[in-house]
Parts: sequence; C-alpha cells; structure tokens
Amino acid sequence: MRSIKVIIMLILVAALALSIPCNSIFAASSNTGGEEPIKGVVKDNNPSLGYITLYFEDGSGTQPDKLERLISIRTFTYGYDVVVTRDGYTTIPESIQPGDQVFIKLDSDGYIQKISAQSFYRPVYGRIQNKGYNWITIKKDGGTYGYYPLTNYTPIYKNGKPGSMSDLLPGEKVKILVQTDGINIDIASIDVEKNPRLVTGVYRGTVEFYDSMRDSLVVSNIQEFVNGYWINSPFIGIQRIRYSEELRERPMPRVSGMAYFATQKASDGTDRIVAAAFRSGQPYTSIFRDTLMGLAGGRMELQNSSEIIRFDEKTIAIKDQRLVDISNINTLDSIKVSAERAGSGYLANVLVCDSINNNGLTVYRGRIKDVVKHTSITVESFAQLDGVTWEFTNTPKTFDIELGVTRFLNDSGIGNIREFDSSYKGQTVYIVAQGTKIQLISTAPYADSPASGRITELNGATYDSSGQLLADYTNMVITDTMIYDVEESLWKAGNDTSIDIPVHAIVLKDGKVGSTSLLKTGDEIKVIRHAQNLEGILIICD
Amino acid sequence: MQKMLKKMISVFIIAAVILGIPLNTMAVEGSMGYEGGISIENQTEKDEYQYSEMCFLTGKPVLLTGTLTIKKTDKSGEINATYTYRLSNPDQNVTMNRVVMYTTKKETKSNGQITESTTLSRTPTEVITAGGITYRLIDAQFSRSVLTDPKPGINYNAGEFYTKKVYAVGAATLNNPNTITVDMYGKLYAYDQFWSSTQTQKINVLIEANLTGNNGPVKWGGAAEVIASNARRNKFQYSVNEPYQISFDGGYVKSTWDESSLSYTARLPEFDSNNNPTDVIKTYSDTRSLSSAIETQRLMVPDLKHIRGFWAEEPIKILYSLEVIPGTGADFKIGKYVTRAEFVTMLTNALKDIPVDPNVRTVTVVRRQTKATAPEISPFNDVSTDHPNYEAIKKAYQKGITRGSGNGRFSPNTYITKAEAIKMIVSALGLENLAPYPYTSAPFSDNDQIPDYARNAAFVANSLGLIYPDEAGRFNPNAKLSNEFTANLIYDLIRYMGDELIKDYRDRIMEF
Repeated sequence: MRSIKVIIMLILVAALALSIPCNSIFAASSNTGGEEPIKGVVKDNNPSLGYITLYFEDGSGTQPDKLERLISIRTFTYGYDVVVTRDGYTTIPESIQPGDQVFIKLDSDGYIQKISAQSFYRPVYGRIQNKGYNWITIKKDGGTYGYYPLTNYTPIYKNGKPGSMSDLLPGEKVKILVQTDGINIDIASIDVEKNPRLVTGVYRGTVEFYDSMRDSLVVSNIQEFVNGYWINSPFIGIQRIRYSEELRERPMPRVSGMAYFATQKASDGTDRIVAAAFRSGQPYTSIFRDTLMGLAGGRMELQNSSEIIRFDEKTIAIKDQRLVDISNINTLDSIKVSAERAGSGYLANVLVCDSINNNGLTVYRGRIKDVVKHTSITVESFAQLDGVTWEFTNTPKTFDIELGVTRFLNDSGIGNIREFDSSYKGQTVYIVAQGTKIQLISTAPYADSPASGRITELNGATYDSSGQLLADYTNMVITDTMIYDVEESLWKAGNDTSIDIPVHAIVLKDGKVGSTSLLKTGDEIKVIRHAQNLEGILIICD
Repeated sequence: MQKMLKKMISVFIIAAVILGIPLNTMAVEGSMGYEGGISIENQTEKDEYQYSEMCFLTGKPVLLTGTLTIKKTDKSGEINATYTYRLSNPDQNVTMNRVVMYTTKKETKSNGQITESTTLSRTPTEVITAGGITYRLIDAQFSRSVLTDPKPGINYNAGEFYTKKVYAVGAATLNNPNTITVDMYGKLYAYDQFWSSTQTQKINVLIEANLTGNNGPVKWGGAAEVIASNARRNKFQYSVNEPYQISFDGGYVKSTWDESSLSYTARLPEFDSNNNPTDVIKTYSDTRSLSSAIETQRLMVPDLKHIRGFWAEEPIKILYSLEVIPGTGADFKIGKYVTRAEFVTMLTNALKDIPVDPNVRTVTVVRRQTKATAPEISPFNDVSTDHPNYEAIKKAYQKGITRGSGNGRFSPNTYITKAEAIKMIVSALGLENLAPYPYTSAPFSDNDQIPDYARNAAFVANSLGLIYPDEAGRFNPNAKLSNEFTANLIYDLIRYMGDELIKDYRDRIMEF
C-alpha cells in the first residue's frame, strides 16, 4: 500500500517536473497550464542576422530610452529551419515586416521555432502626381502628398489583373496597400483604377456666378478645347456644371470673368469640374500647337515659337486625357496651348498633350487568294496604306484570323467571321492588321480620293432617352478641308465637305479600330473616299 | 394585491415586446432590391421608389427605368417583403414586370451582432418583352445573408446574395429549349448612421443563352459586373442674410438628399447584322444615377457674437446650431477645459440615433397600460440620476462608448484628456480593430506615454484623419481639451461620418 503511495507521489512529481517550461524566456503560463506564445508587434526583422525584435506587449517601446531594454528582452533569434506563416500562408522569414502582429514559439534552447504573423496593411488612396524609375508620389484623397518607393517586385494590378510599372500613369488614381511603422514602408500591392476616369472635356466660359447650394459653376458661352481649337458648345445659353468632391477649392464669392475648367465623370456618371482657373476680363487669347522643348522658371519653350509663354499653378495641364501636374509634360511632347496675352508675353490657361499611339496598326487592301476558315486569309498581292496613298507589293501575304479579335464588316454591316470562308476567294477586301493578326476585314469598295479636315458635324446617329447610342453616325461634315490631288501629289484647299459613311467604313483612332462612334466633333481626320460616290471608306483620326 | 401583480407582469411583458422590436434595422436596407438596381424614394407615393436597373438578356445592355414598390411587415422579427417592379425602355421597345416576395429572419447573437437570412417566399413572376420577343421567368433561386454589427454610432453591414433565374424565350414552358440563364452573385456592404447612410452592391452577372437559330443551336454567354449604390447625404451651408436690419446673423442650412449610382461593365458578344452572336467580345460600360430633391432645414442661430472671427468659429457655430453643444452659445468660453460629462454629452448628441427602415410596418398590440415607475439606478456611483448630463452619460455607458474612470466611477467633473476623448470617439465608431493589437509605433513621438487603453484608438483616429500629430510629432495624451479643440474634434467626426465614410463604401468600391 505504502509503495503504491510512493509510486503515485513519484508520478505526480515527474508530471510536475515535465510541466515546467524548459525555456526560462518563455512567456508566462496561463492559468489553465497551457503555454502562451510570445506575442507582439514587430519593430525590426533582420533575416540576414536571424533576429526579430518586438515592441513591448503593452505597445510601448518607441522611445530611445527603452531601446536597450527592448533589444535585451524582446529580441529573439532564429535559424534556417524556422517555420514562418504570414496571413495564413507558409513563407520565408524575409516576409515578416515591421508592424506585423506576431506570435512566436521558442524551442527548448530559446531559439524561435515558429513565427506566425498577421499583416496590417491599410489602403492609401490618391492620384499619381509624379513617377520616377523606382518611386511614385501621390496626392492623397485628403490633400496631402506621399512618397512610395517601388521595386521590380512591387505587385501592380490593373483591372484586377497583374500589371506593370507602365500602368502607373501620372493623373491615374491608385490604391496602395501599405504597412508602415513610421520609418519603414512595406507595399503589398498597387491597384490602378479599373476604368480610369479620363478628362471628358476642357472648357471655357463666361462666369455667371457660383451656386454654393448646388456646388456648381454657372457659365455662359461655353466653348470646348478640342484639338487646339475652341469650339462652340451645342448647348445654348447658361449652363450649370457641378464641382467634383475631389476638388477642394471653390471660387471666391462674386467671381467673374472667364473660367477655364476641365471635367471628369463622377461616380454618378455626371461630368464634374476637377480643375478650374478663373481669369479676370476676356483678354486676347492665342493658341499654340507646337512641340515642347522645355519647361523652366515658370516658362515653356516651344520649338516653333519665340513667344514668351508663362504658366502658373492655375494652368490646367492634361496629358493623354488625364489631369496632371505640368511637370509631367515632357520635352518633345506635342502640345496644344491656349494662352492669354499677359504683359509682353502670354500666360497659358490650358495645355493639352496627347501621345501618338497607333498600336502598330497597318491597313492593307488585297484580293483574297485563299481562306482557311477560322484560321487565316491569304491575299494574292496587296497594297499597303502609306499616309494617304497605296504602296503596291506584288507578292502574296497571309494574315491570321483570331476569332475573338478579328471583326468582319460586310455590305450589311457587322458580319460573322465564322462564316468567312472560301466563297470570298477573289474578292478584294481591306485588312487592318497588327503584325499579321487581323483586327478587321472589310468588304468596303476601293477608295482613292483622299481628303483631310476637321469634323464640325456628325449626323445620323440615334440614341435612346438615356443617351445610349443605338446606331452609329452615317454622315460627317468637315471644315478646313484639303483635297489630295493624286496625280500632282499635292494637297489643295477645298470647301466644307459633307461625307457619307457606309456601314463597312473603317475608322482608326488612338490605335483602335472601331466604328464612327469613336469620332468626335473637332477631331482632325484624313479620309480616303470612294472615287465615284465620295463616301468615306477609311477614316483615320490624327 | 394579485390584481396589482398581474398588472405589473403585463406591463413588463408589453415593455419586453416593445424593447424586442429591432430598432437597429438598416435605413437603406432593401430599397435597391437585389437585382443590381438603384432607387430613389418617391416623395408623393408611399413605399414607391423611382428605380433603374440594367438588363442584359438581349445581349446588349438595356437600361430599364420605372417604379419599384416595397411593402414590408415585421411580425415577431420575421420580415415579409413584396417587391413590385414596373420598368421599361420605350426607345428600345423593352418592358418588364416583376413581383418578388422575400422572407427575412433575424437572429441576434451573443455579442450583439445580428444575422439576417432572406429567402424567396414564393416563386417570383417576371416577364420581359424586348423587340417583340418575350422572356418569361420559369425558374428562380435566391438566398441572401447579411451580418449587422451595431456599434454605438454606426451599424456596419456586410453580406452576400445569390440569384439564379432561368427565362424561357418565347413560349413559357419548362420544355422550351430556348432559355437564358442569369446567375448573379452579389456582395453588399452598408452602414447606417445619422449623418450619412450607404449601401453598395457589387454583383457579378453571368448570362448563358441556349437558343435555336435557323442553322441549329445558338449558344452564347456574357458577363457583367454591376455596382449599384444608394446613399443619403447631408451638407451644411452658411447662408448670409442680405438685409442689414435683422435680429440674427446668417445661419446654417442643413441640406439632405439621396443619391444613387449604377455603374456596369459588361462583356457580351458582338451581334452581327442578322442578330447572331459573333466571337468578338464587346465591352460596354456606363454609369447611371438618380438623385432626389434637396431637402433643406434651417438650423438654430446661436448667440456667439463674442467669438466672431475666432479661428474655430465655424465648427463651434455649427455644433451649437445642430444642438450638439447644448445651450444658446452665450456662455461659450474660449479656452475653457471640457469636463468628461460635457464631452460625453457632446459626443452622444453628435452621434444622434441611427435611422430605421422606413418600409417596415411593425405589428404590435397596443394596450392601454398605466406606467409602472421603477427607481432609476445610475451606472456610476458618482453620477446621480438628477445630474444635468445624466442621460448622456447613461446613454454612452449603455452603448459602450465609456466604461467610466474605474471603480464604478465616471468622474464627470474631471477635465477630459485627449487620450480619453479619442478612445471614446473610436469606441463610438467601433473601429478599434483597424489597428494591430497592441499597436506600437503610432506615428506619434510620445507613443510610449499614450495609455494602453487609448493606444489603438490613437492610431485609428490618426489613420482616419480625425487627429494629426502636433508640430513636434506628439499626441499629447494627457492634454486637457479646450472648448474650441473639442468643437473641432466633434465637427471633424461629423464630417468624417458624413463625407469620408461614403468614399470607402461607394466611390472606392466603384473605382477599384
């Protein structure tokens, strides 16, 4: 009996001994007897030397006088075999970032056996102000600015899919997931706005008043700046344009004179003012369409003008339909500037810069020699459009069909490329291709009468009451018309010209092939017309 | 005696029933329906809304507009709702009639959160005609689940819903081989509070058509992302008096309005001139909106002539006008420190009550009863029930904004510190979980001096833009709050609740 008691005592003592933690550094045991891991927020993680320092459990430890104590008490070392998880995923020690909330389990020698971390990224929203090789600055929604270093590994997403540094454009809205402890910044990802809200128009008008109740600018005689021309708005009389909540500044009471403003679509789909400049009076204005040679000291230098053109903080700068800081306009950019007389020179009110992008599209015309259904088309010989003339090559050429990409326009309008088969052999077609990949095939008739001009009217489209386009434009009127004399190879001035557009006309604009819905009043175009009926067959927007 | 006891029991039961009625119902809940549409309340017809939604059945986006009528009854926590849609697009020759009945059950969990689940009460009816073709709903499935997390100042909501609808194209029989199936998976996020309310639905739509053409079966599919959002907004505007001879200065006008926006991106096959689908996928995107008329309300004009031109005049004036700071303003003293009782009063006044669902009819039995008066017991032993700030302190305690200063005390007359104030504000917003626990290295140089209980709150308030470090980078946790600093702080809180929160729940969801 006594021996049983002794045995029981020994078991109890052994059990007690085993329950004592081997590691004196280990955190306090809980009342239930389980071992609590070490926990805290990461101050520093050094994977090269294999240590991690946590702030004190109460969250203190930022002041220098506590640093020594922090290093001695809250620094833990780890080896190569440490098991690391972050946000539920197994990872490497390098991924633990300052600011992470971690749980640490030590082995019997006091080394870290396991680290389990939770990141605390928070979103920062703003517009890209400037962009460098490995950094961006953004103007945050709150109006302050932030600098964010980037690496080649910084994940960038556009439309929810992986993107690249080239997707980060000045003026674009971004969401940056950052974790910072005041000194270090870790960026988890950068998301670019899904459907970038581009500048929908740059306008000027005579200020009637500012309506504070409706937060709107009320203006009359509105003109839109299109392709370096001020074009009268189709809206007659006094118009109200609401301010965007993104723009914080509002005009002074009793504002008057001329307002220059840019609009963007707001979240409700309406055009709102995102930049505005007010100039007193209605001074003489001039337009410069030129190439920028430099920006310095509040002045811009143009290639073909010796005029002194200044800019100020109110100058509205638009690049590729994005509102940007003027410093984002680069040397050799093609620009259109509307400036008003100021002293001996000019003061720029609006500066617009559009990058030329044709996406490598080439227009061919040729007689079909062979069709491999759904796969390719071979033409016997072909002519390639060069400017407004055709360059003939007497060799066959094969183009690839890609069902999801290749569009087909026939005499009835949109056709089905699946039905494009050998019955088309011998027919002459237009092919718009990117490399050898066909973007568009059209059965439109031969066109060899080039003209150019600026669109003043677009007619024939139908819309529903909500403004949705139901049918494309079928006619346009151009002004500043020039007619190309093929025989003399000369452009000759012509009258304002009305041009009908057939359903299988080809429209190229901004590197896209599309329908006439791409066109806008004010666009400068080259059009190659049918020799007899003068219908616009190829419309190329400069 | 027995009669008296019975009476007391019945009073108690009635009181319990009334208290049991869910008062935290979301203000914006349900007014959009679950079809990816937007609505604005019709001011002349009760329960009727102007309504718009997108229809993709024809292979092209069609905007349908018309009315949505919602009738809801709340019977012992079970809400039965009938949604009746009458929509059309005359230009595109499309009409739609739809009736859907839902049943929603609510359950309050032990931590106060409320879960809701909604199902169809009966098979919905829906008929769409487009260009002479009839699309008739022959099968429908629907489920929806929402979690509401009621916090002192804001109710936060998040949930999902799933809809599958099968339409017969032409004849309405299950054997009809011409069908279009629409699958919708939606996420919804909403918050409700006095200064603004927003509900946003982000819906992924998949359309699958199985039709018979002249040359055999025609199958096509498309997808769309629809983001629909309803919001109620408030704005304050100072209106200057034009007459000189008038008894009061210009005053503030509160404007309230509803705004709804619907944005979609649809990827659908391009149709050829014979209306057959081609392989080219066309992307359509657009944004539509509805907005209500602006309702204006003149606010009281406080007597603050003695602070004209003072740097914090505007927030002080607005807070007096909104009766967030009690009184007429005549006794406002610049530089005076604010006590804990005064701060709690201002904070609870600023939070106001969360609006309730306007469509719900609660079924209750009203019986005449004499009110039994039980003695009021203060939650704090140093705040008597006749203390001038008692109601506010009790409310703050009941809502979890404050637990007092320890040992059952509230210390109403002690000057409030910045740490205490920020802690209360962040508790009222219910956003303390935005910081890691325990947060360290807040962007304040005196982080270590911040009391443990307020460290997370300080981080959160800073990240929300409610407070910023001083010129030396400090938080100054033990600083006493002056009248004007407090007014600024509370005004910033109101602005945050009115203007900033909506960006997270609407604009950013639409943008990214």
